[in-house]
Amino acid sequence: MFAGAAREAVFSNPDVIARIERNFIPVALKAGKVQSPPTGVEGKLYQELKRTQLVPQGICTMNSSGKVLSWAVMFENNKSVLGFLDHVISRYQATPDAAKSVTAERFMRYPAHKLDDMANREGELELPQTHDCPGDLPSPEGALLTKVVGRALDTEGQPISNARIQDNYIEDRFDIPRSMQNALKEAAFTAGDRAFPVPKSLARLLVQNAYLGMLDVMPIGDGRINAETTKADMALWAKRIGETRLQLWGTSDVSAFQDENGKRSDDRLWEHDISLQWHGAIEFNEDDTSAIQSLAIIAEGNERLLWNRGSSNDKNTQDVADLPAGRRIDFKGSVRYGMQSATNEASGEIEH
Amino acid sequence: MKTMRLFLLLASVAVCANGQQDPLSQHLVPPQVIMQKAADVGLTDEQRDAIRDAVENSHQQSSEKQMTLQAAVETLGEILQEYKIEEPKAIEGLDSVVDAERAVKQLHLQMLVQVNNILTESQRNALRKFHAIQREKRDPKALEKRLTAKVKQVQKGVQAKSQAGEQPIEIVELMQKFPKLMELGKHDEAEAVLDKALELLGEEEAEEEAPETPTSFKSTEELKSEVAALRVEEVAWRKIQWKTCLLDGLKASQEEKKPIILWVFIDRPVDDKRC
Repeated sequence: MFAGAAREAVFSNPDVIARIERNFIPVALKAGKVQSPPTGVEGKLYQELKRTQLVPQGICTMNSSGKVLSWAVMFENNKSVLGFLDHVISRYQATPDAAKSVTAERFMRYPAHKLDDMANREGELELPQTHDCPGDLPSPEGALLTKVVGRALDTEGQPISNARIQDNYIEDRFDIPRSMQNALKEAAFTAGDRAFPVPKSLARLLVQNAYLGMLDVMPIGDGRINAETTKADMALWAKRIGETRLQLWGTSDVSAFQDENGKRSDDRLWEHDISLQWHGAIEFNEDDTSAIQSLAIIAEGNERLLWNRGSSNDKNTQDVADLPAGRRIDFKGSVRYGMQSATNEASGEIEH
Repeated sequence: MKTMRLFLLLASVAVCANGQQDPLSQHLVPPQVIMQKAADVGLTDEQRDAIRDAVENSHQQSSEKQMTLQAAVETLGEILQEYKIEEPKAIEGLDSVVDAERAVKQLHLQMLVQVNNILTESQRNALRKFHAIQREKRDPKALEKRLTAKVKQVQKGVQAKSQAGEQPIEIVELMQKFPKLMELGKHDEAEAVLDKALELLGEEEAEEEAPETPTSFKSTEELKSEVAALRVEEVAWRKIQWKTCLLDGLKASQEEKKPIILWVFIDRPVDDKRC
């Protein structure tokens, strides 16, 4: 939840954006890398983040020698976010590099809730001239990168314009593994001219990615996200139209809520129900490989999403004050999703 | 195939459930079961809200009562660890533990009663039936029998695939989770693994009835333009150009003489990904 809440409440604030663009070098890091640092100089920096952090996710600042200046997990109010950035700038001006020692400040909630400072590692790291960045993971070989856009619709059936919050607007991406592409092509050619059910693993993957909200509310995420899936009805069908083209249609009806582990771990309470009608087109390569050449799908229907009902009910509390739990969400309405295979912007080719 | 044999052996060993079921639980439907079948029994939004209020209210009070119970148990433990145990003090300590336990159980029962009273008679009857089926499903003997049968079915399916020259690697990988889940007592999740494995094995054999084929299909170009129309280019959270490499960030920090701001979060830090 932290990331979604931080993106919406902190990094979408125009004043914060302007301040970061003007005065900071923004870097986004995966919490997993901090928990399991890579080797080399970059690994040593990650180790410092791990050693000084309060919780696995948060906002951290560093000077130009990689010394941690200040961590913050939450902020008292929107003004405090700007206050934190100013505070960091003044700390940076006093200790821009390793010439003077500086301690790592740790705020659970800036500025009032501060925990003990920690000493930074002594000495300066020598940056390598060239390096392989471990920041991003490549897609598995042969997988089809597919992008998703989801919108909540108003009563007129038009997309709601506020794209800042993920209960109105989502963008996401997922890979369709080569094995699923093969299974689809095999099923298509076995069925001949008849309609056939889309292989269940692929149908599940498509349905799994059509939902509003943050990562924690995937309706068929099962135990991975501490979800108890209560309904997972998927009837996606396809039919060959010509040699290499498939038409897809069908319905899905899924629902879930937090399981006992989720409830126990951080007291989360959520419910998510989604019913969709699907239609789309899939084209295969003309050669004898079974790779999907292109995919375009629209899914429309209704959705109900509740998150942390009861939390942040205090109107005086701003969203930045409770980033780990996130604000309350109560959405019920019509939705539309689009999925499309990604093309390489430079070459125009499908990204596999 | 050695791995497959090993997991099946482990799986067979793991299929042994235990635990007693509470005889009173047949009368009251727990809130999670109600929410699970909410749509099927036509639960209204007002009922949902009332149930959630009851659960949240109970949960808030429960933590406090659990702490009281824990404190009472600790106090009794301290009394009992003395060399000469003072009998009246021990009895008094036990009374405090029993009182605290009763308060916890009373609160739980109160919540269940409140939640069940929110239901209409027909909803409650339907949910009781469903709950009874679920209880039966979780009955240790029935569970053991069912899981054993499913493990055998998976074994048979894997053997058939192997004989046909296929390598069911996906299923083997999936089934590796099964013994651990059983060991942890996560029987529902373990059964879901078996169901998923059976689903993967039976995928090609599925003989579902095809729904009516739509009379018209949109062209790929039409669909693509509909998908493109959904995307918003100018979103606030895309404005910050996040680097994803810490060393690149540090280099830029030295060149531009600016501090680094790090956003540490789960999953892939890119600008077109859910977070």
